[in-house]
Amino acid sequence: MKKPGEKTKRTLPSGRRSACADASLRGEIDRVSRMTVEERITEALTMGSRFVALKPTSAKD
Amino acid sequence: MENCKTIFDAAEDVLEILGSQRIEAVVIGAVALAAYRYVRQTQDLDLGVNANIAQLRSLADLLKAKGYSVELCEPDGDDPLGGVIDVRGPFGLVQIVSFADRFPAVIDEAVRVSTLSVRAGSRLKLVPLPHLIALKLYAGGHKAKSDIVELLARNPDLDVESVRKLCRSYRLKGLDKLVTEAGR
Repeated sequence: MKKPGEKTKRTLPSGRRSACADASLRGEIDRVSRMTVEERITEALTMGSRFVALKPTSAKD
Repeated sequence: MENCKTIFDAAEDVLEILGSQRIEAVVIGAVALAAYRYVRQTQDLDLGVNANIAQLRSLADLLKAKGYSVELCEPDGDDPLGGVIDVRGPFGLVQIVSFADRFPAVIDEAVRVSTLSVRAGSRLKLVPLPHLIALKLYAGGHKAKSDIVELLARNPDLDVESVRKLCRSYRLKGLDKLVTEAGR
């Protein structure tokens, strides 16, 4: 029984599909669907070089 | 982009060498996943073939003679693959993956029914989507299962029943759970 003034405990909504993540995925699927097969393959093969700047570096650097 | 063109060229050259030994091939792996709308980073292009150990050794020699850096990995008796040849160069890595004596039917059929190529005018055939799913199901493991879920989710026009039928014909189990997970 909840006492007057007692805060309701919120639980994490885990184990449930996220509607906003699904919407984001649908956007990505639409984008990729508009590409040709060659464009998709090229994107996969060049992804490493396009994001080379994101390679982890030492915290001391 | 330049590297990408080069790996296509190298794979087409490897395909020609395979053809000289009467070995047919289809593009499998992450490049095939990208073609079927699951684009994730990859640095290699995989060719699925049916070639026995003697043929793989002969292929490795031919590729070396053409100037490629080549490593042949031979399977033991329990290996689900029939051998792998890594072909390296400035272009990256082209892998020849053999399913001979393990799961040759999927490669034979994929070669026969393939209608897509990696780029206009290329002889590099792409494994059909149902056969790619069958190969992933055969591979097993979390990553392959995750790939199947992504492929199913990203290809809403795919006839799932035809995939079920194909997998049943190969006696592959476990597809239904992944179909449910993909929300199909």
